[in-house]
Amino acid sequence: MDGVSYQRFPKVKIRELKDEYAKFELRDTDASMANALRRVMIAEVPTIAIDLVEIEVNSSVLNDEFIAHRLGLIPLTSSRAMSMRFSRDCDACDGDGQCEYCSVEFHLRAKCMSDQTLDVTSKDLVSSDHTVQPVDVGGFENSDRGIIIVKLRRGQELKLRAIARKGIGKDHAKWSPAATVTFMYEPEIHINEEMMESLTLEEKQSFVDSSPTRVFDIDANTHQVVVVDREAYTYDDEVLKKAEAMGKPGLVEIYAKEDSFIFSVESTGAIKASELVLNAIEVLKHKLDAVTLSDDTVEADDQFGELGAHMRGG
Amino acid sequence: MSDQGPRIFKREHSDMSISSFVDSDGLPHVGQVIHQDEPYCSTIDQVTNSKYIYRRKGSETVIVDYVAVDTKNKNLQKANIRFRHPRNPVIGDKFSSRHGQKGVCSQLWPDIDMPFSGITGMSPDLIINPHAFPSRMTIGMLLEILAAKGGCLHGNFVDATPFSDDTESESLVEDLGSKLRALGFNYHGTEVRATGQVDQITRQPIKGRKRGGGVRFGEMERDSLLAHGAAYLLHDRLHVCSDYHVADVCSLCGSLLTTTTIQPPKRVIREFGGLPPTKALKKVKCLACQTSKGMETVAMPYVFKYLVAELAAMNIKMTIQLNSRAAA
Ligand SMILES: [Zn+2]
Ligand SMILES: [Zn+2]
Repeated sequence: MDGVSYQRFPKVKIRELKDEYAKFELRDTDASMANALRRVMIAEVPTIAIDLVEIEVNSSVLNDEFIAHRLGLIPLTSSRAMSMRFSRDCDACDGDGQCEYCSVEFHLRAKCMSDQTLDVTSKDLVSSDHTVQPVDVGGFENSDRGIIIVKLRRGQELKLRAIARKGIGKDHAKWSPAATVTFMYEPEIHINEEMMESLTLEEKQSFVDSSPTRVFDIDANTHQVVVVDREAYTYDDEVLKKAEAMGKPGLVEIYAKEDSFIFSVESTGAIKASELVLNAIEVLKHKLDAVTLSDDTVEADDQFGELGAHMRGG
Repeated sequence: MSDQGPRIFKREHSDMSISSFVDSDGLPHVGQVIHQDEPYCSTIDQVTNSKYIYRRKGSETVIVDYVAVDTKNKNLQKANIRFRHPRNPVIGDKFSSRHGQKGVCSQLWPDIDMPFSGITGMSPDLIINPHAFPSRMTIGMLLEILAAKGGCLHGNFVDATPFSDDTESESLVEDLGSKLRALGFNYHGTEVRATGQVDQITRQPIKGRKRGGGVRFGEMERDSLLAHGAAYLLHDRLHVCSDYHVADVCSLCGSLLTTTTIQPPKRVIREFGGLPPTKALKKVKCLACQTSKGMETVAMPYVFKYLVAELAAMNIKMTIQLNSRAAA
């Protein structure tokens, strides 16, 4: 047992980084680590979302719970969330969840006075804290519009007070900062050139066309089959089946590198995609700390036996 | 009865026990939350002055959605109270599609436990057992699923008018299939594949639905296929779809257990798919004969290998004699 270490040193290479999107490679680790990171990004990175709604006037067509639910789903800028307190363990307000340390107050007042339908959007929410605002969903055709909450006709009115709190996606999906988090094994594709050259040009073309995604192509000059985008391969086995059907098993060999992953991360806008990844690692570290036994609990050895010794790296 | 007069909606001002639920007109407030056994309206007999309190039956919590009264009469004798029932899906709820495919919600999974696509990150909202389709023959629902996927990814509507075919293509299936193909999906839709759980020792599908097994294809079913002479199907069910295994056998000593691999190669991607490997890429040798000269590959049920190992544990040696006559 002594001296055996299974520690690995994963490497990350960022391929693309935008505010709401990130694509990166994770190498030298295994699927359990990659999946843990994915799960934490979706369900355990905290954000702020509307959690309590007091409705004063609601004469719209949607009922109170419906509007409260829609308000909850609006992403709010949550860079503050990591350092904020959960309402349930806030000692400033005794779990009341209404103090400045653990909550942000919003107000909304809207009344339709004209014959034209009034769109009540996330832009009508007035925040008590300028760092916590509904995210700017600009970039579409009418970029001045926010997220529609309800539509009002003449005479209808909506007046409410809302409390936003810190939370995680595990408790309710409205707190999830992730729109999409996914990873795939990096594929490795080998073409048996010798066997490939024994094919006619039509056969090569039908081989290339057998893949539902554009993985292979034919070089216009040399008429050789080349891999144009190996990451477009969806592990659908279609080209392998095609090779077999052509009586050429082993024409291509495709491996999944089991220690390399390609991550795609899309954020809801509540936090930046880069923050999402970094915060997830932070949360994961906290979770591991909770598992690792500290030195002053050596007395607990009897209780945990070998497991305890093992976890301290013994 | 004759000694009873007309009853009107009203609450006695003195009756404070229900004042937080019922207004002085005997009716609830709009937006009021009513739990089990809580009062929501009260009436008073105009002759006997006896009161009656209506209480909410059933365990569901409801919200008063709307209250309307008949104003033609001076006394409030008719009222219409409407409740809202917030109902989130729970295990045991029954759902139905428009095609009459009904079923019970058997499990609610968190998003992170659902399967996902490595490329797009798409994950299912709902998983339905495909066995629901063959016997009920709701082809329309399958087509609707295809049309919905193609339509939503293309961002257009699909004409679902029955008994009409405006498309130029051969069939609707053709049409929808090629639409999905254009988006980089599989024409026949094997995008999500599921190989069932298998037993660790025998590598045969496990029994018992609770633990994720399928429906057993047993001895009597086997006899039925034998009687029909359906050899290919029999082979498919009991071998290919069960514990198909390509074993290395040493033709020199006939041993199945002394083989070992030299330099394990990178693991082949086929392990994800369902197909057995077509060509052994690894190099193997026999430890007893200290050579790889006599190595041959033989397709066999994996339990056979297990049987040989069990017998070896009881000092019984089993050897295999290979000849190539049956190769054709
Ligand atoms: Zn607080
Ligand atoms: Zn041998």
